Amino acid sequence: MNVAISIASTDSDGRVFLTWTPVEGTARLIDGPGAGQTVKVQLQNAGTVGKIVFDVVRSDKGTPTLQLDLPGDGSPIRFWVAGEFQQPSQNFGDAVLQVVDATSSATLSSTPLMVRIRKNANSLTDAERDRFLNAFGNLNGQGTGRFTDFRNMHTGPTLGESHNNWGFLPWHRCYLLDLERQLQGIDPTVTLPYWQWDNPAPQILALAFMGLPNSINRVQFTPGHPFNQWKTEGQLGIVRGTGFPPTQAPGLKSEAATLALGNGVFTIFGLPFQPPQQGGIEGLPHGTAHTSYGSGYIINPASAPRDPMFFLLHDNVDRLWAKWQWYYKRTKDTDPNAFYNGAPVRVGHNLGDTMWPWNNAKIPPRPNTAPGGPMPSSAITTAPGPTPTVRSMLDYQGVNGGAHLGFDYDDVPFELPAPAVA
Amino acid sequence: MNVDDYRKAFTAEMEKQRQTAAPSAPAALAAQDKAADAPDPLAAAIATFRDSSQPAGARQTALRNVQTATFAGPGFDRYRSSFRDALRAVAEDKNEELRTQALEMLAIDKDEVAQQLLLRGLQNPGQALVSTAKAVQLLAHDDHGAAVPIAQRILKGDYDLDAKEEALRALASDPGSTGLFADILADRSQPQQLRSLSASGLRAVDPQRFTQLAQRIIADDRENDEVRTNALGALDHLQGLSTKLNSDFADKLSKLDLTGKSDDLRAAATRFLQARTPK
Repeated sequence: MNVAISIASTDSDGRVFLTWTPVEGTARLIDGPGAGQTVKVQLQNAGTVGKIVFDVVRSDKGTPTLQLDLPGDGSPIRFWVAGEFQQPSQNFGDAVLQVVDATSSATLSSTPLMVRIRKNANSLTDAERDRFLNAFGNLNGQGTGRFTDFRNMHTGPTLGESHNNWGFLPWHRCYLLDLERQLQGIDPTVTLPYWQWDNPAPQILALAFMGLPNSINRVQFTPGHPFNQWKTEGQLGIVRGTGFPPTQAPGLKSEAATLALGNGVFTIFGLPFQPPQQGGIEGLPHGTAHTSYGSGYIINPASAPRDPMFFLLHDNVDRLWAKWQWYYKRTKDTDPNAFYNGAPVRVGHNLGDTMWPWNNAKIPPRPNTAPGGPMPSSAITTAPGPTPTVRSMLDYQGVNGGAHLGFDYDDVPFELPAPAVA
Repeated sequence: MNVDDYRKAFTAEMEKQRQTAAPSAPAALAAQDKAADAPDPLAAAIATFRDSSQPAGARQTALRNVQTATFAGPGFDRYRSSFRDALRAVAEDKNEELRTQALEMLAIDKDEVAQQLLLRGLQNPGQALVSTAKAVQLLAHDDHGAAVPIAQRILKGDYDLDAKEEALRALASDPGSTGLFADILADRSQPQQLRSLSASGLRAVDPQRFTQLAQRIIADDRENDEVRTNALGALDHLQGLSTKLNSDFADKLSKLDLTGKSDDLRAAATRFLQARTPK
């Protein structure tokens, strides 16, 4: 007798990836005792690093074990499973969903999986870092890979789609999600890490990771590093200044001060950057994070994506927004404090608008190209679909009941709006 | 930690921030700039940056404020022209740091005025505004520009290693440099940095020739570890490598004795082999 486990977030190779967001699963007996009888089983963790929690309903109160009475005729019983907050995996298989017979303790099944979470880049293991770098280097393909589309999504003529308006945060969330899905198409264990600029990041600003510039701002890497082949616009390499020593933080607006902007009101927190007024997060600390390097591709919005550091920077911007959303409970699109809900603004920045380039819109004021095509699908979720809207980027965890986007941050939990059990 | 406890802890942190936060600073971006009281602080910041009579520190702060403002995208458009003019003026400034920053920002934007200044400096060293290496680096940002012939000249001449590295980078997509890349890569008397960059260049313009040469170098125990490592790294991600080639080379690599060789080389070999091990 054993137990077949089926979990919603399973890819085509049969691998299960979880975030903090609970997903549905079923358990059923194989070669059970037959109709009219039940077998009590226990679902539990057997992993060494990643941990999971269970519940019988979709909740934020999952427990490390769950007992179920499985019908002897093999009928499935539903449960919910999620990664245990602050216990992410480092690699596939270091989290295991084990089912044991509650009476005999015999193991009835073991399902390896991964609690796949976006992490602080400064805390990655060497293996995590190297997998990320290999995938990213592969995506760049020495200038011939799909990364060219990401570079072309963020150029001078296209900045109106992504900056200086309310859609700044949703657009970049979508951009990062697209990139991450492309990376996961190369290596499904990879997520996009973030650069938390509040603290020194000597592991990130190192030859083995994002590199260190020489005296003429040419970023150097260790021998064999994938970014030794990094190419954009026909040019080999990255130019970036040393605005601050790697052992120090660049002295930007702190996380707490950023999250306190507007005290939970999006029209202050997300206020578009309109120089000389600094606006909300778009101006400070996002703008100052870019320019903290002093020189190079990353200090100019038209050239910034040519430096892969750009994506770690923006992942932190997105994390700050995610944390703000969690802390102030601002995930509902009907909440006027969760997003701008006023008179229509430029197309692409209103809640119901689809976003360029995923919508392939090329009529002014949209740019006349739309690189990259539709948003790629995910093995573990149906959201946001091929042509995401601004609205679809708000409730990225599905706390209000919709599908989640398939990512989570290591320091932003899943928490349902009261009551705690859906 | 459960979510409730995490929320409590984070709320305490946010409360601490509220209590210790300084009185709200002026909302204007150039608040630290002396011109913060000006009707348009950003225009004033551009003027400060441009003004060579101002202290360098004040000019740097002004520049940083303006650079940050560029992240408003269309919101910066009305300042773009005056900022470009200021950068062009500062491109010949007596302050080396400021003029290098100005030239770099202009060059990344493929500014023709900056390109002319850089070319003038390369033709007449007495008028050079930045080092030869930096000039080549900046000119190479425009791949339709003059960087290719200049880079070829530098590689043949008596220039420092940084200049030659930048020259090789400038040629990285030039199919006319295939022979040059192959010659440098094969020449053990060349510095490993130039050989490694040549490997990257050859990989881009002639993958087949690169593959043959790289495999020979990687398998040669007398070769420099860094060159072998970089060649292996460049080979590792080369698309279109035939399955047989992959398998033959992987077999050869697995039999190499890398005892005593650099950690990077052994790690690169392990990565290459792991990626080709059937799952």
